[in-house]
Amino acid sequence: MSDTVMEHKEPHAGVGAGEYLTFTLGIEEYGIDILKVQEIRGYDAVTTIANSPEFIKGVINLRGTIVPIVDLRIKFHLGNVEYNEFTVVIILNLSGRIVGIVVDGVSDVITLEPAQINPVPNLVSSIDTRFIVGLGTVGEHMLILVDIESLMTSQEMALLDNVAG
Amino acid sequence: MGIDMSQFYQVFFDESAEHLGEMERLLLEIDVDNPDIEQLNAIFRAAHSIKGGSGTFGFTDMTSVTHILETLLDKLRKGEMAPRTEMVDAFLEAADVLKDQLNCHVNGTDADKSLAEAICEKLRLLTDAGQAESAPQPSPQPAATTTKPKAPDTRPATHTYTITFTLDNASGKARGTFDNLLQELGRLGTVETLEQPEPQETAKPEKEKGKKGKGKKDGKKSKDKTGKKAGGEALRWKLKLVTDSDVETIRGSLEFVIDPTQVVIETMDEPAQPATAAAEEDGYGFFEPLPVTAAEDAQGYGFFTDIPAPAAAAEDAQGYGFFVDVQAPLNAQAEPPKTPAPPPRAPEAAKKAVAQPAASSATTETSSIRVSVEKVDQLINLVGELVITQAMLAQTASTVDSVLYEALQNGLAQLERNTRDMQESVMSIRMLPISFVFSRFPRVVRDLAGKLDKQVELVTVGENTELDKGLIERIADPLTHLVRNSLDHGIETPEKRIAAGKDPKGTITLSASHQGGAIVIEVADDGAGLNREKILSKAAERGLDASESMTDQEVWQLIFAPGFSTADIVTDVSGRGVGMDVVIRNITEMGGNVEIDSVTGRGTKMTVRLPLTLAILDGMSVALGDSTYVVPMGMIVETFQPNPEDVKAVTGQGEVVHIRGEYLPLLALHKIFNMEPKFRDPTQGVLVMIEDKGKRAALFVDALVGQQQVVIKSLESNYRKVSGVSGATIMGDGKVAMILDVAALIKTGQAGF
Amino acid sequence: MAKTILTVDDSPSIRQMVSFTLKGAGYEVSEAADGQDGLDKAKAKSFNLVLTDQNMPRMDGLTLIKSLRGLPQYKATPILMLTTEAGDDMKAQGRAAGATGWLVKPFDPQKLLDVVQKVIG
Repeated sequence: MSDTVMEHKEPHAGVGAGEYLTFTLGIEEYGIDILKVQEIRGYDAVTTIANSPEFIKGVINLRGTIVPIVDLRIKFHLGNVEYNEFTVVIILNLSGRIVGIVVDGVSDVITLEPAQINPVPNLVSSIDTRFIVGLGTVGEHMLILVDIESLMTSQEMALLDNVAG
Repeated sequence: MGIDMSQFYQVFFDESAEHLGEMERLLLEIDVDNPDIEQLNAIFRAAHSIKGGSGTFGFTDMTSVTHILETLLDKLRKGEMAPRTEMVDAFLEAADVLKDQLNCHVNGTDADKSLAEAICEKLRLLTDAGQAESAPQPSPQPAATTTKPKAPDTRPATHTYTITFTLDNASGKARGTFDNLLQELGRLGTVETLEQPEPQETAKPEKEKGKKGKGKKDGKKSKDKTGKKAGGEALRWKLKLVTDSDVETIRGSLEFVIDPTQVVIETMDEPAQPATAAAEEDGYGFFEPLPVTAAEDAQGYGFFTDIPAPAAAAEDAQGYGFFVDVQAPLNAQAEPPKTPAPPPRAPEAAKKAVAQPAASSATTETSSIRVSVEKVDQLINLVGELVITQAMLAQTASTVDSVLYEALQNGLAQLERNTRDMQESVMSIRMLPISFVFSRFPRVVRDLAGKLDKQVELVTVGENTELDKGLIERIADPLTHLVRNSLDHGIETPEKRIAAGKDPKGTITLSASHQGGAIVIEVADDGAGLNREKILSKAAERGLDASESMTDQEVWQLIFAPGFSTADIVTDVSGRGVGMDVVIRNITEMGGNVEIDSVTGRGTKMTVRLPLTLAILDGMSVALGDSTYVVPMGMIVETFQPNPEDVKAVTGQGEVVHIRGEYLPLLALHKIFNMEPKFRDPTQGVLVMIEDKGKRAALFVDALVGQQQVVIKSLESNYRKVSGVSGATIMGDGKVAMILDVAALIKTGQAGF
Repeated sequence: MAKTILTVDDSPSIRQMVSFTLKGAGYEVSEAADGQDGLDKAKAKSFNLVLTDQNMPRMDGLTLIKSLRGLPQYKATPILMLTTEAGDDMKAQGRAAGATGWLVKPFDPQKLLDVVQKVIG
């Protein structure tokens, strides 16, 4: 995808009919490829990692595997950041790498036809439009479809060791 | 033949790798002037085995190399030729080529044919030259030409064959089959048709017309289309083939297209030696002429006595007969045929003999089994999980009334013992003797010493010392670098050594042993030793922190700095200074360290220390605020609570603590990790004295929690490397705790990360 | 009852291939890794046929054949030499040792079956 800002971006190649898991961050609704989602949990027992960015809450024990947890609300300055019994963590499996993201709530899994997916206008979104692959419409709702794998593996997420030094 | 040969490939790959390793080992040991016949035999057998297997499974490139190799080896072991150093070198080179070919087959890539051709040529020259010595002959032919073969095994490179195909045409497919054959042969060389059946043998309609269709009708239809309407007789083709393949290869290429009984191959370039020549190439034979030889000759097997045809007919039910005046065929007893007058006692004795040794033979059949690494790793993971679960149970159980639940407590204590035993047992599965690593060094030393014109002897000690398979793989490269270093910079040239009053032959000693919970590997040489002055001046040059006041030990450690090299000349072996820092990094990543001892003029010794197990750690858990951290027990000297007067602040260096005459840097974990502690006053918390590579520090934490074995979990597989943390573990309460990277903490000191 | 075959070869991959081929045809197959192993196994159990390689450690094929022929129960058992060496002298030695016949390596499974069938059915 080009870096230049265009008026309208074509839907990302490969974004087509598919199933999306929808979740809320603040007032916005997002959709991600259901195939990247491993499970959904509550939030508890997170072990902090020293000297890590604020949005990386720490790691949890997911049945014997150490999984880092990222709070997207903190990262993107959205909504009220609370941790209670309603807090949801989506565990993602991104090509073998397991990470968890804290969101405000999870809605449904919906199926989108290509017709329901529109190119991305020059909108201002909390999430960098680099990672937004299209807008889905379901009835009254507008879903921001996110390439969650690219987002989570990007440098700014500081989850990977590709940061120099 | 519906047998899928590929299921045997892996076994063949493994056994060939072993044979190659054995060959190399023996070749390095062999004394050219006084060769041990048994060694020569063993080397021959290894090559022979590889040849047999590669031929059977179709890896013909390896067959070609091993064939020539085996020919020369055969002469050596029979004493027909004397071994020479060039031969041993050539054999080693051949082994390398074979290794390469094998790897290519394993990986599905293509091997470099030119290397194979080159070594074949070299071996051929050596074979011919050797024979020239025993019987003066004209100079050996460079390229492949047809000459009289000395023995059936050593064939010249190009052959002319006459191949006769007799194909049954009942199904009318003969021509199609022949076309396939022609294609196959065309790949091997040039084909010329000498005789062929008439274009349209007969226009007999398919006699199967009347039969209920089993696709015959379709067959007929297609035949109608192509106009080949041969009837149900056998068709015969005779071809001339010029190729540099041998008969085996030709047969091999045909075997999937045609039944061996339908092919007769005669070599034209040998003066006609009738039956024997034909039989030789056919792959089998019987030792007494049989009534029907022609058909069987083509078959690749033979019997030494008559198969009496009538008798065979009589036994047609079973379809075989016996040769030496043998009794009637086998009956239901499945006992071997006895000579006339079979004693009834014998069968019984045999039966008894079967009953007993059957048991013992079953047990002696396999003393080891091959298991895939994944299965073993899986098992180790599961045992790790078991350890965690057991710890959780122990934790829960510790909260209950121990009197009331005494039985439970006892059971859990038993469980802990069982788990520990099982864990040790399972870890030992992955333990392999270090000879797996050491075995490569004789070759390395020989080649390198040759290159550098130095005389070096390699001595290995403690090859049976075991270490974890994972470590073996990771220690190989660092060790190789250390050995090459010793050879390159340590051991002097023979002239220099003589001038120094030493034996011109230097010695490098590789030794391994267990010491405590670690494995210790030493690389020692009796060379020139490290030059302290040179190192210090080089360090100063590079702006490294070094001074005259440093101990020898500290000076030697300077060579691990990146880019450091005091070599006068950069050889292609070492001296570029990119080696030692990588070595030390690899070793520390394995949880180990390297010590250096050296005496100028006498030699150098590098001692590598590695922990024995990778996955399970004895740890002391400590509390910092709300978090728990684990410190590896092996790096803890002691724990204590300091008195106020022992804690001092040193300007520009932070706090230090005085203990037993030493002043140790005080590392406050809460400062390093920027966390909120329970205590900011060291005298209220606990100091853990930690040590790494001789350096000590005092780690200040809130409290000690406990001591337990923990399973090391990777933090980096889903996250990344965290400074100050070497891994993570799951505690008894199911929570994650970080394992402290003591070495890094000591190194960075109070500066933090 | 199934016919029993003993295959003696120091190459595991060849043994496996031979075993698999013959078992697939309904024979019972035992394996031995060298001549000595083969002799021990042959003494312990009676076989209808012995297939042996020539070049093996500890005891080679010819010696095995000679030893087997020295045992009453194997005086007439079919023994086939499987060998990559098909020269005249090897054949002569094989015959002198008492082999019933020979089969040249490499061979394909079908040929093996054909020969075995010819010999013990």
